[in-house]
Amino acid sequence: MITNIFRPQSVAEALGLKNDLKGSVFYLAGGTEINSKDFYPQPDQLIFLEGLGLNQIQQDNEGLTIGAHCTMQQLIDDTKTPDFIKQAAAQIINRNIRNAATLGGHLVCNKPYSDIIPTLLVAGASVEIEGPQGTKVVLLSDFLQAPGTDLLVAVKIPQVKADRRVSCLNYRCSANDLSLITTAVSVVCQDRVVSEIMIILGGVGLKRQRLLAVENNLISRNFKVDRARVHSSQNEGIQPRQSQVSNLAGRVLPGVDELQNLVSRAVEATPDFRGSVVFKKYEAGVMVAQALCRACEGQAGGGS
Amino acid sequence: MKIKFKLNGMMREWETAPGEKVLDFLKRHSVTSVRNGCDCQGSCGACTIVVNKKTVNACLLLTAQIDDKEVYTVDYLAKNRQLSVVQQAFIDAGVVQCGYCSPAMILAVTDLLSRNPSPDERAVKDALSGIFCRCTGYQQFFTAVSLAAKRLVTPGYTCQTAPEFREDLRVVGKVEPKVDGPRLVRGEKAYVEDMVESGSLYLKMLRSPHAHAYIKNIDTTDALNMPGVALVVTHKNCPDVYYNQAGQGFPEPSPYDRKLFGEKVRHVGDRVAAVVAETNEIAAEAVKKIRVEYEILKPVLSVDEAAAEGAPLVHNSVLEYVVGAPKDLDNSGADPRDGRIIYQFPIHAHPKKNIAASVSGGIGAISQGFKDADVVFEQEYQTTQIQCTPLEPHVVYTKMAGDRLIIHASTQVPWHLRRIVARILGVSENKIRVIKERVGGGFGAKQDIVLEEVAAYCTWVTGRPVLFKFNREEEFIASRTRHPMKIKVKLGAKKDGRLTAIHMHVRANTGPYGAHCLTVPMNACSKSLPLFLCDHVHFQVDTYYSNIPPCGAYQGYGAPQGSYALQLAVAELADSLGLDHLSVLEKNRVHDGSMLEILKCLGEGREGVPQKVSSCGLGPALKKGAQMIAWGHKEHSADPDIRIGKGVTIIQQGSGLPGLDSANASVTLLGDGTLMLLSGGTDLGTGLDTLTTKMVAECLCVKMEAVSLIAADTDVTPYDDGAYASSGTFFSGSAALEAAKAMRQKLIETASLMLKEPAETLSLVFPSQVKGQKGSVTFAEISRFTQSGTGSGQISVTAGFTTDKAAFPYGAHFCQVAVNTRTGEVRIQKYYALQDCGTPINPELALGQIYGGVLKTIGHSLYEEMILDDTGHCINATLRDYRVPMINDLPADFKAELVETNDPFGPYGGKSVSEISCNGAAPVIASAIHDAVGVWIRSWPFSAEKVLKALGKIEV
Repeated sequence: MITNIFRPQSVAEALGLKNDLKGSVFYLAGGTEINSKDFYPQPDQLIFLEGLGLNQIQQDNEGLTIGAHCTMQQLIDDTKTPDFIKQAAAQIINRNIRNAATLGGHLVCNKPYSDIIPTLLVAGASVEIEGPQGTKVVLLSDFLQAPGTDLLVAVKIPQVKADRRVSCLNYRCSANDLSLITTAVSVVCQDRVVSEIMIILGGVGLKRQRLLAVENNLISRNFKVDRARVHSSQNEGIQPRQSQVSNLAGRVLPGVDELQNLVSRAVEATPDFRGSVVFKKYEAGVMVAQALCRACEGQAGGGS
Repeated sequence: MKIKFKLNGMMREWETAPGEKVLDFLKRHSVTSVRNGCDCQGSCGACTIVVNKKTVNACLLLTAQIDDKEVYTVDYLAKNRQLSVVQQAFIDAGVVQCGYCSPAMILAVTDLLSRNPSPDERAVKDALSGIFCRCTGYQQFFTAVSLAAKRLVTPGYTCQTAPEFREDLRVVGKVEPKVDGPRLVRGEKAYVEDMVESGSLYLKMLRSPHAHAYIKNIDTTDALNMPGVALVVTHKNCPDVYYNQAGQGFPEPSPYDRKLFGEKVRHVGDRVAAVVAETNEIAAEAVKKIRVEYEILKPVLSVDEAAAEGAPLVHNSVLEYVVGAPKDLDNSGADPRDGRIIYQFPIHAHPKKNIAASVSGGIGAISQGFKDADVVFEQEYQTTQIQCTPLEPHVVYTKMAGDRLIIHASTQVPWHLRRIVARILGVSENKIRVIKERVGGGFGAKQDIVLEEVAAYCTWVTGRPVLFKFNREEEFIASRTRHPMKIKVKLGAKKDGRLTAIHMHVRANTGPYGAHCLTVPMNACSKSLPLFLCDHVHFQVDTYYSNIPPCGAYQGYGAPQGSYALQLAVAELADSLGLDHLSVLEKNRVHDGSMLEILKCLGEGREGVPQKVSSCGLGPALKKGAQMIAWGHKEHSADPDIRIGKGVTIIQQGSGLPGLDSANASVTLLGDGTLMLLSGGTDLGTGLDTLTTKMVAECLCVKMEAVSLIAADTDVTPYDDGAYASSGTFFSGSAALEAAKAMRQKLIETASLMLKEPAETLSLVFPSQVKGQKGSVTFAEISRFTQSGTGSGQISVTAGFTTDKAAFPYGAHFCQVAVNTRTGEVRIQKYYALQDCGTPINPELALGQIYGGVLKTIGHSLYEEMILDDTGHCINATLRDYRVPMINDLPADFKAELVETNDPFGPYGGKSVSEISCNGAAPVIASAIHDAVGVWIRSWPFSAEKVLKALGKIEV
């Protein structure tokens, strides 16, 4: 049972409260998770962060800084937000939720089926956190591994490299279901040769996965991306699945089928009522292969 | 703590607890328009409010989060009772059905139009993306938004929101405002939960964690000792009265196989104890203090397990028959802890084999039919358990008024509810009044008495008012669901596709109790077999008890399962013969004037009657649908992974139960010539109240606003069986029409005296006059004449309607799917539902019934299903995990078309429209999948995983 809600007006005040209060104390942002019936453990006391003014989106030469209290809808509506981040945020299909859910709250909750976290990870996002020891900027991946008790105040997305391409895809059984598969892929190309790949996969298991083995396998092939070739199948209401990536000097990116198998073998899946292990591994292969092909085909400096 | 905020334009400073949700806070301050359908999961959106110009869920906000903010609810929109543009557009477009989601939808659309004055469909979907509507199928919201957008620019703009019918009639067949629409779009008090008075008690149920167990010991001492607890009821102190919860006419074809509480629990979620206390919180705490010791038994979860040799018995009970006890009735070996089962008459049950009911029958000689065949095809189809998911969970409020019990109910069957509660309490029916409030979605689940009788008993014992509302999990595990079935179909046919024999064997799983155990599975046959003209037809129905959550009525009532099996079998047969599916349907289908002999074997627990088809729109429906979908033209995708296919199916239902159902209505002439209609009809949001009002307005040549209605109040209105079996239009509508005709006769007789003209020369003319050759009198003058001291008294008439004639609605559904062979995903590109409901009395609402029925069943065809673990626990008992269809799940191109026929027996030619809409999706989508990728998916839902397995992409 919640006995107190505090409304600090500064980060320092919030940190002080967090340090001083006893019991089950949580920060409250948009509340779409902590106020839901599914949230566990129930908090005793809440520190409501709205008064901290952490709802700005700022662009500078380093990249984008998104205040932790920005809502998902705010991200979508702001012209400074890169398209691939907008697309990922829009995967939270429920507008009422997007209007309330904050980016910071979403990251702290760190659900394995999050659609936006994989995209932020492949974009190289970091987070600014405030704690008793002062301000720190850490990679988002590190923060998610060990979130600690510090206050997340901002998310930093580095300026997208001119040669980076990002793609995110998800699969869900119905529109408002949780993602069964959610993946984001980024590729960095130099002279059209793929020099970096990052693949993040969520939804299939209890934890999000980075498919390092797949990344290394593909990088070792030293392949080259071809001109964008995306099927126009909007009329069928289904997103294009078939893509093609060409080779360079005899070094070939695997075909889609082989790519799928490569990914499927690498994925750790947990069965649940949404799907069996076999199905999830297979579908993960399809989604990652598709996302990879799209990334390779996409516009440089952004997402597809 | 205190918060200060602006609510609907007025500053408020109110006390609140730190953890109070805005939803509860607003309700506590009498803002009733915010609703709760998902227990604060944020998945239904019924609690949508606007905070600082953003739509959000009030259930996911704490009051501290609205401090210093501007909050709007729908209550703000109607100024001086005048509707806003959006509210009016909702009524005009026919998107207000049960109305439970309407305030949320209206706020979302109002917000959308403030951001985007001319939104496209994508923007509308985005705005409504978080709000669940089980009734309408969402499609007409696009019309409503478009209408509102245009009216904001051009006030007074109007357009045809639905086709209109019957030029010879004034209001029947025309788009007219739904009579309860304004009340619902304003978010006024209308539902059971709005009737709760201060000082009420709250009921919470302790439910079984085991699927099958005896209660060895139960100790309620600690619960009873808690301050604020008024009563705890268990099997030890409840009435020793057996009954069935099915809201069916008496004597029911369902066994009386339960008491309020039993010593044996038969499903996870079965009742163990009820606690009533001063607050919900105290009741919930007290429930936790009840200590129960169980003797756990092995559960049976499927028909195969139930039918297995040596299977655990769900009801090892003593059997009794009111009439027709079999001579070999043997009650040896019954366990007294299992209690008794009382049959009103034999339904061929065999509880010692877990058989709850069975029936078989047929016409012709089935073996001869198969001998005559060139080919014989046989296949089995399987369906899973589907939940009705009304947005308003089950709820009841009971209180005493003197020595009488008042039940405010969200029910489809007020009179059956009264009868069943009277039996349990051991009182006569005159001691009970049932008031049907607005129902926030029924769909069959509210045909049964699943909570009302417990609250009624608690009120009767304590004398205190009691509120009992299910949470969403209870709605899944303790309400009603669509029966899982396994259906074997065997067809014999000539090479040209003409059917020579049809055999259906239905094995249905009724779950722990036998509500509708005979009639729902039987309906799988009776609403599918008569679609085909075949001389040799046989069916066998076996219904098994098990330990899954209870099954019962759900829109379609067994027909969706039967239709899926039989229609898909015919599609498979056509394919195996190399014939066009549509041509095989045409070759075998029923026509206007066909005699349906099979119905003589398909009475509901009694002998049936063959029926002649009085009207049938199948021909034009098939013709038009084929044109719309370009039947025979193969579509191709540019993406090599995508295969496109088309499907067709034909469907039917009934319009009530001839020979079983009855309905009544009264019409009274008021002093100024207006009319009061008292209808027994139970409107679930379907538009029945509008329909009965139209019947009177049309027949008596008055404006609709000259007719006021009270419906479904057992003290005030005459008897009606209730809203089930698609009876509303045919029975309740006809009763209203018969009452209006009786009133017309009285008006003419009185006018004849006043005008001194023979009655034969008089006729009613619009508005509200009787005209003769010499002159005319108004209804007001007639009223004054009769009500004066020298008059004959106020004119009031009552009429009943019963019939042995049937009026079958028909339909043809077509769809086009795109199957992604790589992902297994099935997307519906086109879905066209062409339906014959006779004269569409309320055309815009009829369309909504079709869209709603189709989308519900697209849901169970593609992704909805209750999933139980091997201990019988439902592991996806939330709206999100169960996956109800939302607006973004709509087919890309979704059209409902009304195919007009004029049925000679229906009121103004009308037939039913709702339930039939649920019968097409599964077979038509499965057929289209086969057309696309060449595999038959013989169990719903057609998940990507099943498609991939069928395609050999992943291991079976």
